[in-house]
Amino acid sequence: MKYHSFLNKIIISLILLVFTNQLYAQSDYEISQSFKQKRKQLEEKIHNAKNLEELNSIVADIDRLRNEYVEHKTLLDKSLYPDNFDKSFEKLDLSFVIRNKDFTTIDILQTENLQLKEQVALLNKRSTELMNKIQEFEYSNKKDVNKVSELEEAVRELKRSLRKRDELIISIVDSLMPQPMMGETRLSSQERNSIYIEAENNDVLSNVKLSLLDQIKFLELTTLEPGDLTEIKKQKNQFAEFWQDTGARLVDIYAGKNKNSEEIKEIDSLFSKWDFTLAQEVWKNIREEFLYNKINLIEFTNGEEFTNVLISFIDDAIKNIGVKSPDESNLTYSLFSDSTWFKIITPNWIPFLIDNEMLDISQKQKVESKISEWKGRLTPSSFDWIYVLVAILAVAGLGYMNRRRLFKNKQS
Amino acid sequence: MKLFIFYPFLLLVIATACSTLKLQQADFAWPVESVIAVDENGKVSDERYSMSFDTKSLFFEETEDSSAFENKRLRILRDINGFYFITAEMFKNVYVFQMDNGAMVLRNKIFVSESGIKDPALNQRAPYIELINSGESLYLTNSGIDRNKK
Repeated sequence: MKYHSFLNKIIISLILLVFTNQLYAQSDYEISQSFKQKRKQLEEKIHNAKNLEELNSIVADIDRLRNEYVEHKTLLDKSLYPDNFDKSFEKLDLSFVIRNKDFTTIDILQTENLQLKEQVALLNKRSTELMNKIQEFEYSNKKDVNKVSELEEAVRELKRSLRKRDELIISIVDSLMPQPMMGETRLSSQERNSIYIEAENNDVLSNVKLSLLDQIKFLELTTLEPGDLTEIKKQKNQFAEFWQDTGARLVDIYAGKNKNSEEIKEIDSLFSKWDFTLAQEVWKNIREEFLYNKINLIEFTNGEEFTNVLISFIDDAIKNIGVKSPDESNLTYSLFSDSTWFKIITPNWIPFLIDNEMLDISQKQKVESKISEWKGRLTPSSFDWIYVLVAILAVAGLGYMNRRRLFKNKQS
Repeated sequence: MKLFIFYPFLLLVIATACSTLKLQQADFAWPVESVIAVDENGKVSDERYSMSFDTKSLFFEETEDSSAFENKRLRILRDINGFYFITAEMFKNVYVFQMDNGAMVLRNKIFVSESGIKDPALNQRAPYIELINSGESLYLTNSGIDRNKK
């Protein structure tokens, strides 16, 4: 009986041994693949973590994976080539640290963003106040010295305020884009949605639009010097560059949102309008420089029209040389050429126009050669008077000498 | 007769010239098998070990149908001596190959199961190759199954 019981135990043990042997016959390849798959899942989990809390929960998963596979370390060291078991966890830890840093940066940026948003709101308010003030001054008595200096100060402040607001808007948009995504990397739909929500919360599109509208209004309200216009042009180029770069990514983020797509199109057209208004401001100011010296020119909107208008004015002035009095002709020449062209336009405006490709050297030379021709036509008539005067003086002199000779002859 | 004196020297020179240089204690073992899908032209290629070959003859040998490679995955593992052990799902045999002058030359065909190997896997258990057939282990060498190894 004892013998049978012993035999049964041996048989059961053998069956169990065979069974467990079969149970533990595992494929090394499957172990290696399953480890790689779980590691990849953790990498994705780290990458897709939405917040710091979610990210921190992954630490336990990493430890679990390590404990689960530590018994296969030798196999994995060989099969994970060029990595190994420890290196795989080092990489996971590094991904964790990088993502953790992202969240810390995002946290700081969100705080900064809130402050920037408040500052933009303040600057919006201040800009509107200043524009109203400038408009008021434009309608009031410009001869009042105090008012003029107040106006100038208001314009300066408004200019500063608009520039500051542009910079803030750029900072807000930059802060919305997480740093690793500032490059060429394409954003996932999840990232796009989160940026979209943030951009909407910060009224990014409205602020960009408002900024452009104010810049245009500022140009229309004020009469600016070439130096101011150079500064504004530079500011415009910077803002346009920003819009082409980060703005293009915003376009991608807003794609499919009909209302916003319209707003983006509007912003694009406002950039063109700003460009056009800036150019018109230049030509308007140049015309006003001539008008200040009582030279009333037909309106011009580009370099070619400007050249043609000036040449046509000079042609008319040359034609009128015989018709108008010489004094009048000379005065027109003097006001046009000496007081406006050579004194104001050439030193102040021509470099700006040439630098911004609004006028070329040949057009400038064409105007100046016409001015020389005008001067040449005025000079001969002036010389006639000198000849007459010399002749009168010569005749008078000869007469006086004859009379003295006759007087001497009578005496002798 | 005097020439006989030089024969030992001559033999020594010839023996030296014919001896082959051997670098021994070599280990060709792959740590893990490669599981490679056969492409539409019947070829397999392994990136890690930079090797590729045509499998049509292998499938013809196993199934007598050279187009049987479609949607198949080969499991390849090299043992410590440099022999390649190749099998696939429902193969009856494990094939042992050796590299020879730009070809894989069959050295042995190890019969495993008439009904075909189910869920096969090859593990490196130097000096053996462990074949798992439906969870059961068999230990192989290039000459066949070692029934004594458990």
